[in-house]
Amino acid sequence: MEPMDMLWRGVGIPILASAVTTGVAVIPWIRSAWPQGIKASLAAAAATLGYLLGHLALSNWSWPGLPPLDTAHWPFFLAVAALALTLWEQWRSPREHVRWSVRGILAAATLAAVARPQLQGSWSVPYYAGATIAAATVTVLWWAGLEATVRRLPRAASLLLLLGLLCGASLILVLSGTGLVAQLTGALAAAMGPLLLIALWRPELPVHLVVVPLTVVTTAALWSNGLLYTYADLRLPSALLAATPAVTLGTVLLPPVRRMAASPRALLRWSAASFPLLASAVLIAIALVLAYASSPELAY
Amino acid sequence: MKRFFTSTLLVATAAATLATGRPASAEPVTYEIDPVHSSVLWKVLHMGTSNAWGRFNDVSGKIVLDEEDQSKSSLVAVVKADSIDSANEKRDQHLKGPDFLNAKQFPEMKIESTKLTRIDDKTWQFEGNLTFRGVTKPVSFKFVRTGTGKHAKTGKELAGGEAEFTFKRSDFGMNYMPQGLGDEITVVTSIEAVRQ
Repeated sequence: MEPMDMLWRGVGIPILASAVTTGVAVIPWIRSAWPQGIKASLAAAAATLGYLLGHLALSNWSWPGLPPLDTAHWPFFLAVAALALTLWEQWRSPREHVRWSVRGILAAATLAAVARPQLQGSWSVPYYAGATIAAATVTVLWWAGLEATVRRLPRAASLLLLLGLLCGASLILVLSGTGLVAQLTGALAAAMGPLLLIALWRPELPVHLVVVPLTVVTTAALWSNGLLYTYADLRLPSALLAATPAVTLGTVLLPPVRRMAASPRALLRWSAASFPLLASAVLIAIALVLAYASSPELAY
Repeated sequence: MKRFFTSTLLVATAAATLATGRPASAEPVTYEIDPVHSSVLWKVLHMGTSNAWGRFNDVSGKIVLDEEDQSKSSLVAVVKADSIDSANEKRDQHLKGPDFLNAKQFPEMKIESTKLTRIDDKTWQFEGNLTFRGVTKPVSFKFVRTGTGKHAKTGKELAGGEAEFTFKRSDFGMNYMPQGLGDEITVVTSIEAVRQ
């Protein structure tokens, strides 16, 4: 794929699809009397549609079978599952324990699906089950932490945080030596872009929380693909990047920060929201230096 | 009359032995592929300019030849995907990864005959299936015997042959870099097998 074609498929199409869907569906309803939940769900649908089109474009418009042969295509279906979960949560407002139980099941299903080929290799069934449960538990904890962080940030700032996480994950995957999975993660980030603009333009619209399930489920699927099936050790940079929302949350919850006047507090919350983006930049700089130092033959 | 039949049988046996390198009317003969003396090479067009060549370093398999009943002849060869060697470690990592071979998900590539037909004393027509990245598609090619002999140390009988075939990687779900790398992959193999 030529670089411009790659950019068009992986970034242009997701942004365009998400922006058009957002424009067609969300903007005219800003002043309508529709419930906030419906408007918010449309934002999630716009981002999901953007991702799905980006996924298809990056796969040369070949429809992934169900179940997909290649686990890199599971995120296509899991993104739809995450949207279904969002719509259900928005419209049915389930109780907290029910909501988190369903989220836990989706997280476990995501990781079980991606890790399944390991059963043909070195993993035994008990190890596979244990690893799936452990990874699903970590994912749910991360999901809870991310949601708590997003709730405490200005809406646009929380979208910046999610974008930073996705960009960082995409860059880590690129450096691991995989193109497609990294591009798919980039496509998800691109699909979120128009929502950040909407949030900046109309801060009262709740477009931030509804995209957390899409971000968590799809990123978990893409990231675990990178962790399990590439030949690079991504554990440390992944753990560092995944921990940045916790640092953001810790920063905004600090008592001195909470006692600040409105303007400096807003500035600090925005700065804290950009931690994943900054962490990504630092990680990438370190990784690039290490990569060049270890191998002068990158330009194969 | 009995002497005539005996003589005819002896002449026929000798002729068949000369042609095939082994006694006629024998039981099916099984050969194990010798991974050390066998090669699996591949080439793919890079940027529409030149063929990039590489190899797989781990091949194993079995060949069964039955002169009397060709339907009992078979060939199966398995190549470990993570044994790819393109003479560049960085590129090998990429080739083994999800974009190309996806070797952790699909650790083996297999070619297995459904029909082996003898064309002449040196050539066999192979009809069978190629399993690559979890997808199985039919493939056919000619397998040409290059020679037979005995191992200098072990004394075991050896047989060698070569084959070449081409397939489209997109048929097997390998769609990455369609403009940078050609769709067609040509595989050139030289097999040395040891009689069991």
